[in-house]
Amino acid sequence: MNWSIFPYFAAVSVLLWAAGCFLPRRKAVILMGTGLLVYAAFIVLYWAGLGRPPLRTTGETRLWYSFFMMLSGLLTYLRWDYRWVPAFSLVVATVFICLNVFKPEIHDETLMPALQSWWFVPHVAVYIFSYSVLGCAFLFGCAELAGRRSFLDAADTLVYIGLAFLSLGMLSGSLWAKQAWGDFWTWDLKETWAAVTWCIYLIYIHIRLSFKPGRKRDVCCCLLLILGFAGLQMCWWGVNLLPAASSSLHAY
Amino acid sequence: MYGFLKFPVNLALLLCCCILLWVLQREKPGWGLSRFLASGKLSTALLGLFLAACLLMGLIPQSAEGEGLHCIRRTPWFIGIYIMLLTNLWCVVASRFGRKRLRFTLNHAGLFLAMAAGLAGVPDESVSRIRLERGAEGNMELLDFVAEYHDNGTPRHYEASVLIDGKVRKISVNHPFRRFPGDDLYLVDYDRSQPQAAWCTLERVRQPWKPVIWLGIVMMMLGSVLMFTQGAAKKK
Repeated sequence: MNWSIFPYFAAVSVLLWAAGCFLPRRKAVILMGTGLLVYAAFIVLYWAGLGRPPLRTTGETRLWYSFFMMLSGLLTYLRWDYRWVPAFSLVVATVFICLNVFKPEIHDETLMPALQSWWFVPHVAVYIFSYSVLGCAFLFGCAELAGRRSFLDAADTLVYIGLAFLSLGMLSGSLWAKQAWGDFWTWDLKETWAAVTWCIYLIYIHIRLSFKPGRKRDVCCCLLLILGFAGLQMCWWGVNLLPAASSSLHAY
Repeated sequence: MYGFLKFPVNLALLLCCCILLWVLQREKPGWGLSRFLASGKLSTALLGLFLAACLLMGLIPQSAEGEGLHCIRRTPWFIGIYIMLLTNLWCVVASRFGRKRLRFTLNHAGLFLAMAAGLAGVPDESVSRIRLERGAEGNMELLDFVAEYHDNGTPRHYEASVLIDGKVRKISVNHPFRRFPGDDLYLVDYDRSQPQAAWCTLERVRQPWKPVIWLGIVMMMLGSVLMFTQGAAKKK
């Protein structure tokens, strides 16, 4: 299985997800679940054809992000019954699928020695999953700012799940860094931005727990969810645009 | 610059500060200073300052040889924020010790251990490079070297067989050789000019506080798992 078949699998998945957004709950869950299975089937076949985990290049992480974004959207829908969450997840997932169709960035099929470690798959997969969960929390933050209804209790749950996985990604990365490069933390560009995003979500949690409830606190938390999402994008692919990116240990 | 803080001075200083703050939190919990040092609002403010410093580090190119804003992690104000965060973390742990809050303790005490050992251990750390050549006898000797390449010429895998302390050890990327806890040998370079490499370079990293940092990280990982399974904390 090679990359050329991706647009067909992606088109079928997006159609199933989109149809699910307009149908009653039971049918919606079945269609969205089937869409996820089709998309997952491509990942599995592509992985087998590649002979290594498709988690190295930016394009490959986008592949996973679209998958986890829809999975998080569907799970959020199942938990809180917010119909608009999978719809917005679909928009975000489709943007990243389109980027992968028109600008794949997955051509290099080699895996350098530093990435040949059993840490590789859990470290990247856990990070991408946390990005998608926190992406849903970002949607709640925007919805809270836009409307009168409060979504922050639901956002709290997503932030705790997302932060748990974000922490596991960062901590597993530091153990791997010690094994591969000799130090747990070197303030490499990617590590610095990982610390930025981690701090933003820690501040969110501390503000929610330590400050008096009120509109001011809630607005502040919404802004942190938006800022956190921007930080995640920066950490994921934005760092490649910075002048110091070429000297980063994470430049693959 | 910080040579005078080597072991055991660093350990003694760290323990003194911890004991003082522990006594303050346990014996005088009502004092304004105790409550201030262990407050969530101080944590939020310090995290905000730390975030601002990280943002500057993320936007301004950093270099180990740089000064001021070009090497923020070595500036007195960054170290000050770092030490204040450590103080806050320890006070938070001390003030809530004894309550059945496993997740809280694992996350906060784990972060304290990793950060404290990361800072206090700096004067004891050292990195040196050793070039080994085939046939050159010494404490360490390069016996064999295997390198495989992808079709595009980039390395797929390379591994050195080195005689260390009378035993043959294989060292490759992601598989350093641990002589003692906190004393590791890494393969960082080799002779690419010929199929059978004539030399390779090992990096010896001595980080005696490594086990403590490792313990802190593992505690936080367990705390993260509990964070996922237990969900959002209850608000006041």
